[in-house]
Amino acid sequence: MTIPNFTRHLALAGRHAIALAAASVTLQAQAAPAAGQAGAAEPLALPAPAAGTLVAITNANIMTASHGNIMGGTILIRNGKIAEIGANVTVPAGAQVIDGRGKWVTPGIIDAHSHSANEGINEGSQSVTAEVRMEDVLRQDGISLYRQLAGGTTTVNILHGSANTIGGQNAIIKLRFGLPVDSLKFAGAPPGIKFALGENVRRTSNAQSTRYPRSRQGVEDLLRESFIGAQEYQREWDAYATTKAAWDKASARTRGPAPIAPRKDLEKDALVEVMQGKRLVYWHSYRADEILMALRISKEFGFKPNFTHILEGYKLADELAAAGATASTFADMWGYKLEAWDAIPHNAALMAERGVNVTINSDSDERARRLYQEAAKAMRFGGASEETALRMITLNAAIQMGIEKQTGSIDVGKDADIAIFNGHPFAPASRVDMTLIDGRVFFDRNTAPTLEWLMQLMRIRPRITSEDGGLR
Amino acid sequence: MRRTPLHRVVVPVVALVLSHAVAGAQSNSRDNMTGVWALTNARIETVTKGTIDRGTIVIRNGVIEAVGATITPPADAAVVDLSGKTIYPAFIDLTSSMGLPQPAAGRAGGRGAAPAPFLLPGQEPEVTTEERVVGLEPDRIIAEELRIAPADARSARDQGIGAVLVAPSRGLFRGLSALVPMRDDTAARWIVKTPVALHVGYQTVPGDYPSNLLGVIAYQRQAFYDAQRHAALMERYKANPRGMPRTAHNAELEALVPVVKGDVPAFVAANAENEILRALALGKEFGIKLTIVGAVEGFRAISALKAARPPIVTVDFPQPSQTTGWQYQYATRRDPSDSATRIAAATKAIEGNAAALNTAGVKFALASGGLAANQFMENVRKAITAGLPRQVAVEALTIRAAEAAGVDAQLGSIEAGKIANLLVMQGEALTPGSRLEGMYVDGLQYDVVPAPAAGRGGRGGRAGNPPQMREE
Amino acid sequence: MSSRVTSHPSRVTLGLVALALAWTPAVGEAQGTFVIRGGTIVPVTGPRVPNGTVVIQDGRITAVGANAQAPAGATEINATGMFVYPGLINAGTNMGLVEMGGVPGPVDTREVGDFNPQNIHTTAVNVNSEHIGVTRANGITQVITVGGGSVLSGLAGLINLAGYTNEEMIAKQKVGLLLSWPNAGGGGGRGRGGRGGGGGGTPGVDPMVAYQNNVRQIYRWFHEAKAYGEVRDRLTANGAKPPVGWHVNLRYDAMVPAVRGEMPVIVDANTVAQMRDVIRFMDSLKVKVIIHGASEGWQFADTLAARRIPVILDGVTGMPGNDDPYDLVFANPGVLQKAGVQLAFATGGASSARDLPYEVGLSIAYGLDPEEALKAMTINPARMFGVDREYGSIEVGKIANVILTTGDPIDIRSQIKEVFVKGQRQKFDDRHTQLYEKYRARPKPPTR
Repeated sequence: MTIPNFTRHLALAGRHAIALAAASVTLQAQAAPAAGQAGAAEPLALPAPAAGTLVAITNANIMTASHGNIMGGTILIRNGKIAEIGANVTVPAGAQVIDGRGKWVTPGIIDAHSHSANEGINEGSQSVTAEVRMEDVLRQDGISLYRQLAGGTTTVNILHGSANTIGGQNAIIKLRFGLPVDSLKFAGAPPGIKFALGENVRRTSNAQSTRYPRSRQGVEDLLRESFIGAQEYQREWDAYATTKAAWDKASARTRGPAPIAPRKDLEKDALVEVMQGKRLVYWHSYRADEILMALRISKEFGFKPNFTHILEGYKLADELAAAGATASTFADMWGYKLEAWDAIPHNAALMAERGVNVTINSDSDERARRLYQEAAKAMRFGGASEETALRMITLNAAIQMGIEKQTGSIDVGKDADIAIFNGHPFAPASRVDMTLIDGRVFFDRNTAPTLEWLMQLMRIRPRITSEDGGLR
Repeated sequence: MRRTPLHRVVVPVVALVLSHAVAGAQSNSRDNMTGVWALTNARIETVTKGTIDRGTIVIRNGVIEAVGATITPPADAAVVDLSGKTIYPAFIDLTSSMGLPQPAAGRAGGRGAAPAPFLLPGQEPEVTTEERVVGLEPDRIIAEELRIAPADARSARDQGIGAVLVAPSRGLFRGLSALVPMRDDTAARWIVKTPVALHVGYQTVPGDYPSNLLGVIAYQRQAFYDAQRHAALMERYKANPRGMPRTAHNAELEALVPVVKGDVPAFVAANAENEILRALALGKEFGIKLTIVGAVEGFRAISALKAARPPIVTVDFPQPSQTTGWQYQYATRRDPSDSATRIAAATKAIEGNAAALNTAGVKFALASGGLAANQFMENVRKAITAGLPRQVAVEALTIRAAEAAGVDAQLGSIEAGKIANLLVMQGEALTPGSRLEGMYVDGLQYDVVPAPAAGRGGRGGRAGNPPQMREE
Repeated sequence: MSSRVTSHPSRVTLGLVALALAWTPAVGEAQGTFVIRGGTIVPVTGPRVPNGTVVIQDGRITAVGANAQAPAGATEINATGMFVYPGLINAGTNMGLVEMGGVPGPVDTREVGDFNPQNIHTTAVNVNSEHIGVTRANGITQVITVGGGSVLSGLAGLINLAGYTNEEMIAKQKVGLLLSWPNAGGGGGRGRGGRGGGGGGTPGVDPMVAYQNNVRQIYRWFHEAKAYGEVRDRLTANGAKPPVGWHVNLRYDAMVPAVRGEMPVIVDANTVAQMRDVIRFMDSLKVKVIIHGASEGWQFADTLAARRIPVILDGVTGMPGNDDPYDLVFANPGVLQKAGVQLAFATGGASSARDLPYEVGLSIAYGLDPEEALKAMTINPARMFGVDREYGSIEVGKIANVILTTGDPIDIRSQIKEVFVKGQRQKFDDRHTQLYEKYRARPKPPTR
């Protein structure tokens, strides 16, 4: 669509008609940080949302995701955190009030598998690239981020692609659209790394590839070899630490020159962190056999496995539960390649039923706009309860990503990351009306550019009939 | 370790001889020999020592011997009466690839991660000879391969440019640049300084690691860590080689050593807001002297640039739609008929980049960014129109550029002892009515040809990419 | 009419039943007489019947109403608290033509060349495709299936999602001639179901010139097919054999019904410019048109309504253009519907065909009327494809494509409890249900 084509029909639509509706005034409102860096000029900047110092969402049906639903309740937000929740919360004077009557409120949706907001997805030239970091290539200004906000999504896990056995280090961000790139980062989120298995890793679609591995056996070998290499690397550093400590203690006159540290290897550093439990592993996986292999490798090298995609996880729900594994899957994607042939939409519900922490992810800027619909499919297929389904896109995702203390449910003390729906989030006619991150309104349908708004602006009356539609 | 950054043995490229660089090129120098000149009765803008309304400059052996209002021309000087003219230091363009062979296509095929050879403890992997990888040549010494065509030098001079800094325009480690005077006779023999800087960028190596921005950044970090260690090993060995295993010769790593030690700056081509931030983060991580080259979105990263070394700001303005933040407008209710206004506003911000930096107190050099010389000057005038004080622009093209290249003792202003790179103007430089009337480069006098109407110059390899969102 | 008790179909209907049975032999044990009792009947073409009864006999709906009588020996199905809907119709898939995207063997979705109006896509439907059972289990009983790759890609077919052979599955072999309208470049085409062909950019060729040439070619094909049809009919009138030297042209032959307006042309068109030119084409050649795509339909809704051009929307979950309103694709159907355009929905890929009601649900959240949404999945496509005497609603005499649900099918939380296709009660034995049940019953493995 080429917007300028409509120009001549806009003669009557004054600029004032499109001014942003002023946000409710808050007495405590601080000067909001300017969007973008200082100096960024219109139209290359967005007005930053108000600071969210004191906000109340009143009379809403609150789905906490952690402790049931509160009908007609109020959430009080102070300095970006949830301060009070309940049916009888007193709203202090001066609070910015969001009338929640008839609305349903959920925690901000968390997408545990995303490739948004970056300028690089795969460093596919080698099968082990533990040294690359998504945080190095983030980009904050893609309109797709706004569209995810418009679907209630507030936090996303930016993962490396699945071209490599050991891909890159992840970045967890909040969709603070309009702010500089560093402000998107989720403070305190544990670092992670993407591992991948199966067809993508063995370059199935590229018959010419000579990159090792080209088989699932090779993938297992490369994983083991990489970890053993990292163990040996760690031993080098341990030995150096011992020598260095002795040298530090030795007399300055008699000791020789200081020992030189071993080579710092960014790739191995990341794998050492995995074995030390400091870096979470997200295994991209499809088939049951490779999931079992990943469980063995995880156990062999002593780290907790988190899975993503895991389309055949339902075949191994007990093994996953026993290993304390978490599982993030698609709602109902299947059949797009051979290793997705046994994917079933009941996967999420069945794993959850057997005690696995399950999330439903998007892996797509498109689906990330309607993850609430995707979660509802766990009720349709496999009969998950409403709260279980909701947790699959909120609390459980936070648990998988290690950020459940900060976000993922509506609980006092957590970040005020909130989606407000015009109806029950799983009901067919529901949509997101407002999305808050840290108590700041990052999406508001009342001020958003909607088709309805555009058509009003264009003064399209229902029933103008002319041969060519009268528009061009 | 399947990949060892910079652990390559490089077969030096056979020196390229460009036929057009050899004899036959007509020089337009009036007297193509170093002589003694007295330029009298001119208005002299020294840049560093104020303006002399009517003064004399004496040039001997290519160097300014004296400058002042009361200088008497020496007896052996050819006296040139420049009444009514203004003399400026010649401009310097720090972003040129003049005289370099056209970059060859990248190496085809990738290195599969073949299983590592079996090694006994302490055994080093066999070093294999590899061909040069385009864009990954920190040890490439530009001074050794430069062949400046007189026609290129002339077109630079025609715009008042007396010296250019030559470096390849693509790659992640591009090589060591040379500052070359724009004289017709074998300019490469008269290089002002080499190496000026290690040139760094964000382009990938086709078909090889790193193949993605992710890998580029990881590669650069690993390389600097390796260089730090290499420096320590070499120093130790130099201090006392007894009992210490030799360190393998590695030209590429050795080229990085002066950079990590702070002896040679890194010039990092970074244009988009996030590129600037990434580059500065690299500089901070390794404590290296790092100069941003490009910064066309510097107005979005002012606070970061304020804390950094003065950048080299190029005037190869991006299109509004290529600029970070352009998509923000799609998240607001805006009048679609407004798009021309919005493009104009964004263009103003883009062309006002240098002005914004200046207002914020950032010192910077101005450079072409690979634009043709006439387009370069036209865009500098646009920057002035957008609010950059003309005097600051002159400084940015002269003394600031000389400072950035570390040649401010030799170039960039009209002071006794400096190289006699001068331009003679009718009118004030960088004003619409002014006319360049002649140039002195290394004390050689050159005619200039009036500039033709500026055409659309091609843009050098910008590293900023539009956001790439795709599923994986 | 739905509350009217009608237990005896007319003779005409019985005749049709007999004919239908002759063509489609009864399948297995599921064929028989069923009475669905106690549910809310949603006939689509009439008001809802609370606590109603639907009787299915010999493949047809034989009674509908609050007090419908069941024949003796009928299998009773208790629908208390549940809902009876007509089976849903997905108006655009590649069902049976592709099994796994990444595996090239079973892929019959693209032909070579621009001019293939003669291809009959139901021919290649793989009756064993796992997508069929999976889709059916979600209440979708019929789909349009199409291949593509050409400017004229052949004849779309309507299939029932049950049968032992693909011939048995066919509800109507030729519902429309597929035409991919060229694009002058830029804009439109954001739906994911475009069948491609035509209008591709050629370097060095002015896109507008290329566009006009491509359009001219389409006109030429239609004019030639029309002329061909007239000659053919003259030469073969009254059973005459055509003279020696006259050649049958299968391509033009296939186009004749569409050229004469006896069969719709299903035209992929998304931009206003494309749709406007499609209308010119329609007027000039006097053909019937269904527009497939219409991603810029919101700007053109009144014309589409005034000209009574039905629209198949494809890709409600497609992404809008960067500069479009964020909800443009979700909201487009509601705008068209409010203007009075007859709508149906397509989902494209076979593996997501079951998501039809959920995609439609998204449109309801952004303005589509729920009742009209239901029609868009049932009676509207039946009308568009000329099968509304047999399909698309719960009415006496119609073929019994019926589903029993715990709620509105567009509500993702609703369960589909029964699916009847051509009166045959379907087992939920699709691949997904089988795998689910198998692994749900998996005993706990020994502790590792």
